[in-house]
Amino acid sequence: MKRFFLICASFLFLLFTPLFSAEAPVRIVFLGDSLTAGLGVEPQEAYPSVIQEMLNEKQISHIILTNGSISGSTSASAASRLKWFLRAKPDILVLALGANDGLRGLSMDEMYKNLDNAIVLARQNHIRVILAGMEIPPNYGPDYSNAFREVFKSLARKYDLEFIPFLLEGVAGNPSLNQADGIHPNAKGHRVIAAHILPFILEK
Amino acid sequence: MLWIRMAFLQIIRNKGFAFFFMFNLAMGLAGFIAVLSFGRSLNRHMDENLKEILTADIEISSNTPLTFEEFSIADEVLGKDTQKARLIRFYTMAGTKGDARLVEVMAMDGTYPLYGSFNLLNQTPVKALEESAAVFMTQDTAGVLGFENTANEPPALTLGGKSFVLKDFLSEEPGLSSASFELAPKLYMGIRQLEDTGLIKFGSRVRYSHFFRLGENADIPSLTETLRARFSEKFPGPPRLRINDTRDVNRRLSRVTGYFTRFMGLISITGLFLSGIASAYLFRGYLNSRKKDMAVLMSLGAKKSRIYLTISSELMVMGTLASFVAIIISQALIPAFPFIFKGLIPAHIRIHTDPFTLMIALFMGVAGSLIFCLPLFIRIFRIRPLMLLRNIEETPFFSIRTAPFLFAGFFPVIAAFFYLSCLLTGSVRDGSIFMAGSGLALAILSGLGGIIFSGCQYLSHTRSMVRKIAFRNLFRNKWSSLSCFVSIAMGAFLISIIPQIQKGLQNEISRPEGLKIPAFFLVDIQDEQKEPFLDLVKQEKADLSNFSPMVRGRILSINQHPFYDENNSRSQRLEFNFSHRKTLDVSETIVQGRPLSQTPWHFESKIPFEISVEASFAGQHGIALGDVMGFEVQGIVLEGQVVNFRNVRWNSFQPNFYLLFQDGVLDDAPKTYLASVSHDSVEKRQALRQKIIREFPNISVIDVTRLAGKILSITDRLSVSVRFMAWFSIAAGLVLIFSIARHEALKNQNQINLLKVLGAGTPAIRSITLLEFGFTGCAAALAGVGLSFCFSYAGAWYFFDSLWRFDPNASILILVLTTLISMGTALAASGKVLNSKPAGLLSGLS
Repeated sequence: MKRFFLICASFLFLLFTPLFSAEAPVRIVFLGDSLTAGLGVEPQEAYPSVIQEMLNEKQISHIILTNGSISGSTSASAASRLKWFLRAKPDILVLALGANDGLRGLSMDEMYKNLDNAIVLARQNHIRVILAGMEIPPNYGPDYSNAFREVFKSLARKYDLEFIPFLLEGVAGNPSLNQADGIHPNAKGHRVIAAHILPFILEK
Repeated sequence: MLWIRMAFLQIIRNKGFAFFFMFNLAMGLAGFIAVLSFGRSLNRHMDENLKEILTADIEISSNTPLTFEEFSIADEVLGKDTQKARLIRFYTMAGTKGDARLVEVMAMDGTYPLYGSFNLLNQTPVKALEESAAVFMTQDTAGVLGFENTANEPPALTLGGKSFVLKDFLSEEPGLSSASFELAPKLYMGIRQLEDTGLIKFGSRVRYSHFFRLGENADIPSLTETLRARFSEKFPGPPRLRINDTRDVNRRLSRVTGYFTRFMGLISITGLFLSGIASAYLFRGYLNSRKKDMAVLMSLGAKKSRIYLTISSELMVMGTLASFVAIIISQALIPAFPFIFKGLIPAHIRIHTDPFTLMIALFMGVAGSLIFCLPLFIRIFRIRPLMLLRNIEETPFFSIRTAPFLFAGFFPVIAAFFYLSCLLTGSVRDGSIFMAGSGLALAILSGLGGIIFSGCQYLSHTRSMVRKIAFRNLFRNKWSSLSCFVSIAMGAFLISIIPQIQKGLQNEISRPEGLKIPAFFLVDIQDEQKEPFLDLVKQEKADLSNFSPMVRGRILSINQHPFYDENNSRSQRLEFNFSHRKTLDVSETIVQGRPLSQTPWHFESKIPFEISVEASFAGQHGIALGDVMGFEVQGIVLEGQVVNFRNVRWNSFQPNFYLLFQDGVLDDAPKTYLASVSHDSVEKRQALRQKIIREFPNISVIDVTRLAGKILSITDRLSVSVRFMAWFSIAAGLVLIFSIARHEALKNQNQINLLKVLGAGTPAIRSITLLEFGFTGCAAALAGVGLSFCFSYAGAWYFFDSLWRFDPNASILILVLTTLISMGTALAASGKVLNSKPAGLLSGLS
């Protein structure tokens, strides 16, 4: 009888475990550049903040987002910056770096290496990684554009990561969703990005 | 015509005095023309330099091609006849021998550049780019792209889907990027060749620039503003187009050129006031000498209006003749000035007098006689003729009844000067401030002069005959002495304002001592790369300066008040770079407060860390010493206290920051490093670049050699010009003081002669003259120079962001030279009297 009750209790515990764990805080860190930092828009208009707002609307309050993005940063800083955020014990890392590497014409091998190091560090610390892919403007030439695109794809394949093929899907090149510089999304553009990213986060 | 004939007759009758008067006035006006011509020519020279950097008068640029409607607005505002040029620029990867490097493509049409030119090693016509798939680049760029040996095969590179041949090397290229820095080497190609590359398509990041060259007399700043207003009216919201003129060429440069333009405005207006003072003094001196004639005519029943016309005609004729003489003298001398002042002024400068300067000089000579003398005429006409005949000095009077007439008499001169001041400074506000300041200085100096000459009565109570007579003369003729004192003091005041501001300005513009022109800016050096990078620089024997950590963050509050709120224009979207350095750079000086503590700050510390704020940033955001500021750095909230304000010479081309934090604050924050590198050897510079790129591929090496060289060469020229104009103005001002002193000395001949008739010895007469003029000159110069310190300080605070430096050398020089000029001219005049027979002098003077 005692054994039966023990089994029942264990069953009930297992049954409700997802419920309990869903209420435990989930920390997500966004490691990105100006596109994620929200250059040119108010901090609360940047897409990580918009995602937080959307989660709140869905009454999902246990997900805590931290925007650790720095305008102008390249993939070279990815690992060292992640080390800083390890103190916050994140559960998920949204890695959205690489755009500046491409715009500055930096070596794709180096970019691969830098992102790889950050992913390895995240995995060593049991952090799940969502990799945000980027596209380089066509004026950089087809060879470089393809090589750039392939870096993200091959990393996603290598580590079997949750992969967002293009962070600026539906936003890039659309003047009504971008600022006057033609490259940074405006507030409306950030809302589109947030809506695009949210399912990946909910899935994780 | 009758008045003019009568005026000529009168001048011929008094030809000695008339010649003397005209010579003095011509000297003063020639000095003014020279100062104004130099100032305006230098300003034009600098403006042309800026136009060459922009390659146009106005540039309109955007990320997408201009629409038909936008073109129509531009044509409407700027006129259809303006010269136009087009440039499309973008970054791409240029393929060379299996490798690819980032380059900036400059695709231009046949009319680019509108100012400046290409200099090519083999003189290939620029048209070649339009006709064939060819590019121009510098030899440095060729080196970067791996085209070391170009003798055997014509080097080719691939841009997108098309192959281009390197046609020629650029030794000089026009313009400089308005973005200031070259992230990648530039290639020039024809705009027609662009299509086949396939690089311009949806999503491409391209900058389309349209350049406009306007007519000579176009008011470019005003047209730029009109364009901006028209576009923002037609297309509300964030502007899509960027409209630049030479003021926007470079942030660093526009600041110093702004100072330079203001300084030239100050020089011009000082010249105007100096010549005005000299003209007014001479005209009024002449009018005083004709008082007896006027009294005779008034006694005989002549109408006052006729007397006014007669005397004014004489003055106008003499003024006109003097103006023409001044113009002839200046036109003969000015073309020789670049040779005379070779090495002291920028090379290749064309100095010429523009019609505007000539018009003002002519106005001073012709109309000056009428407007300067009007108040004196009003005063003379209100005195009984008998007083004038007895040669009684009419004391200034003031009554409510006469006040409106007196004010009315001063109105034309005030209005004329106000108009000219606004015209020369280019701003009603600046012109008004200068007018008000000069008026205040005039009032202070007049009051001071009154006290000094009243005090001469006490100084004359002495046993020394020379001192007794000299000071009694000054006291007895105090109104005449006062006008001479005020004129000399105003002259000294105006010319000594300039060196104080020039010194401060020079300090701001010139290169800091010990500064090496940087070759590269290095961005994005990671923390873990710090040591190997420093080792590499050491190995290569390059000079690394300002290796600075850089952390981005936001300012949250100042004294608990939000930094960003709806009531101010600050937006939260602004991020700032914070840094730390153990010792200040040569381009920085603490202007207020104490240096940052050298003790590292700890996060556990309960007290705020120390902050150093750049002075103009503090002014702009209302930050005071002792303020507590809140920051957010990567999610961490920090609090610091402002302990000093720093002056940064931004044109030093060193990495500088608005906010520096105490040691320890940024130690653990995610950061990158920024540095500038210079190398004495040009060849090794490129090798160093290659090594950095190879060993640290993430570090962006921004080549600033060309930009820094160009900007520093302009600032050097500005610096030389500012120094030269200051000394030239002092020299011109001293010539004016000389002409005033000379005129006063001649007036003194009568008195000297009287002393001679009464039996005074030559040494005694000389001593009396020297003491009288020496005292007046020295007291006037002392008062003028002393007052100039306060006024120049206030002027520097208001117009030149407090760029003021005490310059004792110039002040002492002005003081000594003014005194010596006064004494020397008086001595020369007395010598002439002493060598003449008294009877002859008496008859001549009567």
